Amino acid sequence: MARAPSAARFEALYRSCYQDLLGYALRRVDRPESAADVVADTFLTAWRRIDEIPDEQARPWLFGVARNVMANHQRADRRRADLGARLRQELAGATTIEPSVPPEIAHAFRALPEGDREVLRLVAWEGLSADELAVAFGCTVNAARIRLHRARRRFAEALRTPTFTSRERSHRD
Amino acid sequence: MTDVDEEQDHLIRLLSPTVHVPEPARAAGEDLLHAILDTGAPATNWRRRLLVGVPVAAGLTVAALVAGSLLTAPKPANAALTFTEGDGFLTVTIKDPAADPQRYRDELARRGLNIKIELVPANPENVGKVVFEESGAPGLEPIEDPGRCTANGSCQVGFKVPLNFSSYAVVAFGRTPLPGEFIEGGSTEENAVGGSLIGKRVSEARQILAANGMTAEYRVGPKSMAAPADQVPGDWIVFDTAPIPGNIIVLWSSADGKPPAPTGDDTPRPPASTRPGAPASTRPGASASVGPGASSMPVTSSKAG
Repeated sequence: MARAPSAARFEALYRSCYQDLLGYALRRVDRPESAADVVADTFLTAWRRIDEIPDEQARPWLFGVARNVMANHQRADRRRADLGARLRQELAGATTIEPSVPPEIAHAFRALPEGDREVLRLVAWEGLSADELAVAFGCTVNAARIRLHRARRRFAEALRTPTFTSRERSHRD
Repeated sequence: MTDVDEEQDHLIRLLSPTVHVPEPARAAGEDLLHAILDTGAPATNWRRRLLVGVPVAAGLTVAALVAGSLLTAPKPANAALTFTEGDGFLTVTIKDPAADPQRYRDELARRGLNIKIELVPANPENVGKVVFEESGAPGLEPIEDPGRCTANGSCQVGFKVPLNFSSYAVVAFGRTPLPGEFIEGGSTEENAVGGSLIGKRVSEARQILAANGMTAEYRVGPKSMAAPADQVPGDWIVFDTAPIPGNIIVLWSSADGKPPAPTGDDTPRPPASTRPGAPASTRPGASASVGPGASSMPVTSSKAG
């Protein structure tokens, strides 16, 4: 049976973005199993709204949905559908290794508001441009650029501000 | 992007955790693709979206599942929505999130616009923000206040619509909840209490809830079935929670504190069978059983690695 064009489009989108979305979710959730629900909810939403996904901006659109899925844990509804059940089980074996980085950098980053951190992570980790950030955040390009600019400025300030730990270190050094 | 920006991005990339995904998860990804496609063709009425924490761009609403109870009628108060007309557009922003939405609807109807304004109970940071938007066609543009963004990125404080907008729309602004009123998705406090219970024993969770004047409901087993309190042993571990109306926190718990693996049948497993020491434990990394959304998929026996 021939598939509808929307199904073909969804399948192509799924195959090209599944790994990225899974990685995105795994880097942000506490337990790897939870990433399965994020991925399942995100793609289910994408399927149901396939006609509304912008052609050239599908990837950042998916990140925007995933962000929202993580922000709004409608757990009861999701578990009833339980589309991600098998993936959740398999992901129990996933491991996440925290990197070893100079504590000054980690401190400076942690000191930022979560909104800033997410803007910076979407750019640095997921490779989103400012225009794509606008799609992910559902805001105007101008607002996205302002937010990125402010986040960068605050991160730079945080890097310049010595933390208790870094003062201790430099004292010791 | 400047060199300084590039340097920043490099530093931030250093902070990225490395994730290793077991090979079977890739097969499970195929499984998920087909399970989603099997849910049927996209529904045309899939346009109502809750946008708590997420603003809306023209023709683009970022989705979350929403309970139908969201759009309940709020109590009237003094109206204070600002309408500004110019260049063929109407700009609507909210000044008093406690105002009567009927007046807004009348204002919009007077201009021939089929746009319904709702006010819904919201957490403090979403009061005065657009938390939900539904429209029959693109046209609504967000009005944002980047100085008032919430922690997770909602900056939208209004919308702009062409005066010749001929489709329909529903826009919900967050308002302060009435005393005791339930906020969809739970209040900050309810979520804080719920979140603090994860990893705790059910007995301890019950005490904490009682101390906060709250009660528990229980979901157990791979099908997340409701269970009465006396069937949920106090030494089980809570692995997830969610606030629901009535000052209730739903507790998902299991003997080992892990979400139970799906069994593939539709029979809820009696809680007794997953007590500690019972043979029906759900061991992560064991061969996968078939989930309810994928009954036609073969069981994989590949090992996580």
